Amino acid sequence: MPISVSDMQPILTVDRIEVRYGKVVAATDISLVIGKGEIVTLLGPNGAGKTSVLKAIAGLVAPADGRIAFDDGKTVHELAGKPGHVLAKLGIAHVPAQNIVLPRMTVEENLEVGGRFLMSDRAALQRSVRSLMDRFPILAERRTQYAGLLSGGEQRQLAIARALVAKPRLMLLDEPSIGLAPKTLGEIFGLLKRINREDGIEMLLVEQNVVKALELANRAYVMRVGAMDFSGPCEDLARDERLANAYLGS
Amino acid sequence: MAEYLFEQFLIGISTGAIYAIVAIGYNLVFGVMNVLNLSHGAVMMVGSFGVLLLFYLGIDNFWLAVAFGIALALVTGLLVERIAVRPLKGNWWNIKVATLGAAMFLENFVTRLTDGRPMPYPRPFKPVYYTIVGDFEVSNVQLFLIACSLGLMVAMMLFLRHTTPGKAIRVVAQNPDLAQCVGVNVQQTMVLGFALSAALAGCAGILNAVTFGSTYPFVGQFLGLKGLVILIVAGIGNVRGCLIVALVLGVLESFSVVAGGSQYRDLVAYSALVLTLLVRPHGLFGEEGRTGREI
Amino acid sequence: MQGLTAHFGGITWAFVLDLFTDYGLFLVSALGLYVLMSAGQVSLGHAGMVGIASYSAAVLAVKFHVPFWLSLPLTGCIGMVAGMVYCYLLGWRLSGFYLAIGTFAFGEMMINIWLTSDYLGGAIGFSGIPLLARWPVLLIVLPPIFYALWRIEHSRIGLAFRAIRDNETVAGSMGINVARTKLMAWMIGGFITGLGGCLHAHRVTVITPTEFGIYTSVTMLLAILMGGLRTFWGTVLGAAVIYFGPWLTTTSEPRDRLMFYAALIVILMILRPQGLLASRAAR
Ligand SMILES: Nc1ncnc2c1ncn2[C@@H]1O[C@H](COP(=O)(O)OP(=O)(O)OP(=O)(O)O)[C@@H](O)[C@H]1O
Ligand SMILES: [Mg+2]
Repeated sequence: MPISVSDMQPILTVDRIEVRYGKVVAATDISLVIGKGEIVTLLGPNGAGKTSVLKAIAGLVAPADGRIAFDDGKTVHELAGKPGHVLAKLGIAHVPAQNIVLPRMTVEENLEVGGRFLMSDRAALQRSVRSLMDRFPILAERRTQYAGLLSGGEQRQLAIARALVAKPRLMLLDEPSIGLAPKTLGEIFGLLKRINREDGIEMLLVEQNVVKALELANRAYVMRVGAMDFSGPCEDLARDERLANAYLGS
Repeated sequence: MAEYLFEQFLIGISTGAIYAIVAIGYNLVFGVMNVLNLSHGAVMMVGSFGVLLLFYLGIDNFWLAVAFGIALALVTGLLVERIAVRPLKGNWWNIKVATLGAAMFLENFVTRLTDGRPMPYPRPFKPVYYTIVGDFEVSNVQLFLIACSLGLMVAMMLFLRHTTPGKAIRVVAQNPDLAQCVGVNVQQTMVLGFALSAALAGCAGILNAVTFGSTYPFVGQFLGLKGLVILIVAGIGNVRGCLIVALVLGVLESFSVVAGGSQYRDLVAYSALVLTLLVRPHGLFGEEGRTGREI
Repeated sequence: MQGLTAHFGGITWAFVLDLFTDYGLFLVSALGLYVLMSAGQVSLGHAGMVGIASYSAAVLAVKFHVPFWLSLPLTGCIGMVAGMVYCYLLGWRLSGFYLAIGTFAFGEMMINIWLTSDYLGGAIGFSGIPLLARWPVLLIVLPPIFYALWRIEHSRIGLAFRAIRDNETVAGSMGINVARTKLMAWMIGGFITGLGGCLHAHRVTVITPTEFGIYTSVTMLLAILMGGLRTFWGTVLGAAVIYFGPWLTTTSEPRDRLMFYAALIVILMILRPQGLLASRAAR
């Protein structure tokens, strides 16, 4: 039974935002909501502006227009215009698509950095890092290696693990499937699903791997270049020919 | 002859250690902001004159004066950041020119105030000479200076490695966007990097002035250029590399004076720089594709 | 007000002519740098190249008694060869920031070589160069340079310069021979700089190593940055601002003038980061 937008309680509401870099408009009139417990995916062709929307939500670029509201369970925060580190403190964890690790720090240091600036309790930080190494065995194995020397897939896992260190409320994932072998991809997506269920962390997922994304997510938004095209529950969209058109380019 | 060589070696080590502090100062700013701050030398000069200013005002306490000199350098550095760096929004080429303008301003301003002649410099305490073996002598001031410089370097490395603000600097240096994502206040960290760099500049300026027993308004040009040479030879972003290259260069310079006379001093440094760039364009300890941005 | 009349009152025709001649000579070397910069070859040690030409001209004139009119083109060629050496050692290997530092280090190295060379007069300087670069020489030298630069600007090679400045990789993939274009820039820039260095030597009659240091390099660079890289006329204007600007201050204290000048640099960088004559997109 797909969840409809009306009967859910949104934790993130993006309301008609516009993202621009100087004169270049990357995306306009973008609205989306993420309900409690949901994984939502944002799809679209190259250059549609998906990364830009994600960056705007994470506070890496300030939206030129519109508002973003985030409900952390106690209060509703206005996010638009606030810098990224403030949003990180509110519990929004962003895993970008590129340059996702700190290359000159070890794997363990990378994990530690994920919570060092967000958690005041050092002991809790250490515990969290240890439990994540249990969850991602490959990271435990490479503990003392420089992160820059990890393979692409290992870096991706490290980045996801780092985002989880400080127990975020909402995860923003930009193309987490890049560079993952099919087997690893299955494992990572399975893990994301588990994290979503067990820890109750909502996710906004930008993906090029449409099939996998639709499997993982509850609902999907599809962008065309610079704007939102349509949206709906993943089960419906998997059969929707508009999605095929958007990707095959008609 | 032997004791002369030994003396030159000590001078080499102590100037090398000062060079290292200068180079680390560049590195801090280059790391967090990806810009080259060419006012660094002038800020050193301001630090060294800050000490004299307090004496001039009649406060006859060396340590208080040192603290004042460092503070003055810090404030000057922060002012440069506000006026000649931040408004230029990361355009490295313009920042280079603007900070050079700031340096020219400071140098000429101080020249105007002091009429430009080298000024005698106070000493922390009365020099006492110790004989080590045979004719080898070393003064407590010399030892103190070397200890200060090396201590400062070690403290800096420990700070960057182990404290939370130090880690923030390293994270911003490696990836400013990611730094925001893990909750680092990037703007604040940049200012912190700049402030630390300026304070180090003040220390270097004072140490240098005590070593040579004098300071003058253009002292920063000479020191600043040497720091730059080390920065590039070591490879931008490499703190340990800076220390090694600085010490080696200091000693090499000292010995080139013994071998050929004082005019060979700078030739050694700049030839080393040209050679390094030809053989290893990214510095001895640098790697390709790692152009700055990292500490 | 009284200060103002005192400042401008003492100005004679001879003085103005002198000032213009100095400006013109400075401009020649700065235009050499403009050619380099227009092809993305950022040089922070351009004065070093000027120095190579000046010392060559001095040796030619004093040690070999070569007449000025022969020495001028000869020094131009020496500058061109120097440009080729720079290109081979630095231009082809380094770019951007590292090229700037490399050229700077090269210049400082040259200074230290001159300082240690007794043949070239060491720190005291090389003296006895005949004073020949008076204003009529400029009237003969500058117009052909302007014409050549104007032609270059409107030709394929000028376009190639701009293309490799914008993006070397893209320029290469568009079929531009990047290495050859760079070499061209260094040769043309070197030739003009060679002329500038020769004129300089015959103007000041005594040259010292330290005058070819970073301050002179930066002054030339500023002329170009102020003018922007859209056209060489920008450099003509930028050099004028640099050269005449300080004279407009109503103080006779040279340190105050330098302070004014330094402040001007900072303010210009903030207000017109793209240069006086260039459009915003040009840089
Ligand atoms: N920093 C920037 N400055 C200027 N324009 C930018 C910048 N970043 C992105 N753009 C432009 O914004 C538009 C949207 O880019 P964005 O990266 O958001 O697309 P995307 O949907 O993530 O594409 P992809 O699927 O290829 O990752 C593009 O036209 C791009 O050129
Ligand atoms: Mg993207």
